[in-house]
Amino acid sequence: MQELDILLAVAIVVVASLSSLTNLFVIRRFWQIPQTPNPATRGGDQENEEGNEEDEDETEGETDQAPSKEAILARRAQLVHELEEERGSRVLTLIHRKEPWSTGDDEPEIGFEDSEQILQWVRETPPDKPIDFIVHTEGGLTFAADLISMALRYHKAKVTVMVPFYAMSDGTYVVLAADEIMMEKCSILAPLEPLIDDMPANSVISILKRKPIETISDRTILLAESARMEEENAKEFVKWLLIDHMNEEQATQVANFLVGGFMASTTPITLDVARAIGLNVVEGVPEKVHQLFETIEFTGGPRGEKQYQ
Amino acid sequence: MDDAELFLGLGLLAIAAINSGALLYALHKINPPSAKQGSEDEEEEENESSEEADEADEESEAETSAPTEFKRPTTKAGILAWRQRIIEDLEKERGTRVLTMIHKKELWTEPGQDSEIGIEDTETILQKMRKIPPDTPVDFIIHTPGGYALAAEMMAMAIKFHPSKVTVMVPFYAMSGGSLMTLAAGEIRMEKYSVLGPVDPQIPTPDGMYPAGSIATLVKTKPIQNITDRMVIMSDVANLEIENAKAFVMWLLEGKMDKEQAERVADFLARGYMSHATPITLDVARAIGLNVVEGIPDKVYELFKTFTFTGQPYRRH
Repeated sequence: MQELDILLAVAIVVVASLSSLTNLFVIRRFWQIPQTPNPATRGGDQENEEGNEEDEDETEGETDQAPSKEAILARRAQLVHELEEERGSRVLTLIHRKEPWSTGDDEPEIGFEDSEQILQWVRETPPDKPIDFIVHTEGGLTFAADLISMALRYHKAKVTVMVPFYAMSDGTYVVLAADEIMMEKCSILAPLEPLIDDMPANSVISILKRKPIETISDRTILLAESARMEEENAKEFVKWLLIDHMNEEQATQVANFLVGGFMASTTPITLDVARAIGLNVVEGVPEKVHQLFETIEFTGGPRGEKQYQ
Repeated sequence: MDDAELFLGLGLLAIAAINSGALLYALHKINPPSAKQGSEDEEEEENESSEEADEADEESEAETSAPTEFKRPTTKAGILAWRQRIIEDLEKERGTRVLTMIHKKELWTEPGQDSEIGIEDTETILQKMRKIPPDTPVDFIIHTPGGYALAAEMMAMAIKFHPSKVTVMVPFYAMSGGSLMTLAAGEIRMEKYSVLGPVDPQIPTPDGMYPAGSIATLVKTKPIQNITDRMVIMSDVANLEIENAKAFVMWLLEGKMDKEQAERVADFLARGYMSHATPITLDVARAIGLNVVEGIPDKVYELFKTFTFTGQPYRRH
């Protein structure tokens, strides 16, 4: 009888400890579920933690469960919102990049869709609210870029353009419209020489002096004429963009330097060069902007026209 | 009475066991093992076989079994984890941060997709470079046929701007744009048989790609009135491109050699005196004054084993 009692007591103790262990285990497991890198439920703090991890880890995670388009867009919207709070500004973006959901031949570049959208955004921004404009583009339609830069130039409050990586060809117009430019040490801008039929304007013009005119085709002569006009137009536009920030002489010089065709169209205009020609450049782009770019997948096919091969 | 109590005790025990078993099973279903954080060691061993090549968690276990019977991972995640492990070993071994730009066929590469330097590489590398503390040296493993010039220039800038020593390792080849990047390094590590290449710009024309140097000489070898308009215009572009490339190389070599020598090296590599595929071997690189060290760590070769060596060959350069 006593033995049985002991047996029963032992059994109850075992049961109790078993179930408590199970409970403990269950609680621990459930505790971890929200912390797993499930992109759909990602909160701001967890992303910060992730941001500190190695990139390799992140890419590994992505291969297992790629975040959905909605999750990525939500994350971006959140980061933009946080950046707005941090800087007390309106944040606009012109980011051209292949997205996981973009189809094969999509080569994003500046187009009228961009300019219309951005013009509306700028219009909706109160005149006394500063604008932070994040640019990441290889250029595109000059006319659309001109429209965007005009809108930024006319904005009353301070306009800061941030270039975390590059703003090439027509993207550089947008940068010049800024009151302040934020770049990284390795970010680049590009010369603004117009392209005529895929050839730099100044080179097209120079053929008139290099080749006997009777041997030049009619078409080339016409191209040279339009190149001259385009170049003049671009120079005047650059001058107008800069005139508030420097005197006329300097603005003319900068316009000449960027448009005049003294360098190859692939010459990088680095932070140091931009500063040397008198643009108001600040080194460093806010951390949040870099976090924004971590939501963009940097893979995809090769692109670009000039190659070392 | 006695029997009843015994039964009660055993019954309770059985119920508890079944209960916890069921809970464990349910949890296993709800929360697939890949999401776990590695806190339950017992659990991990149980599941090891089912998700061998899944996440970084399993790396340590895979390592112990590697020398005897190593199975090549076949999934993308598995290969990346394998690669990551080797890179971490190399980092520990050399006390550096290791970056890689390796353009090779992967299991997941789509047919016809040639990998070469693109702006995507630049963005990735720049992002990684940003996170490396200024006092940490960097080892950069480069293996590339070249590619988009501006992208290579941006990465070369990042290498040059890094405050600590950057060692570029070229186990096999780093042509054109890749060579440009090696010029930015504080130290280049090569093997006797690995090659760099000239960095003269290639100009796209409607008839195809031509070296800038050749286009520039065209106007000297043929009466100008007999050359097509486009080629005359492109020769102007070619001259500008060569100037740009030379100036850039000179800037990269600034501080590594005196100015006169830098200018000679820039002229040698960017003027287009030789074919774009000419191999610049270790001896040549050393002869023109680059800081070349012979020998590549074994771990780098181990890293290359994670790539498939089959598939279509790259096109000729």
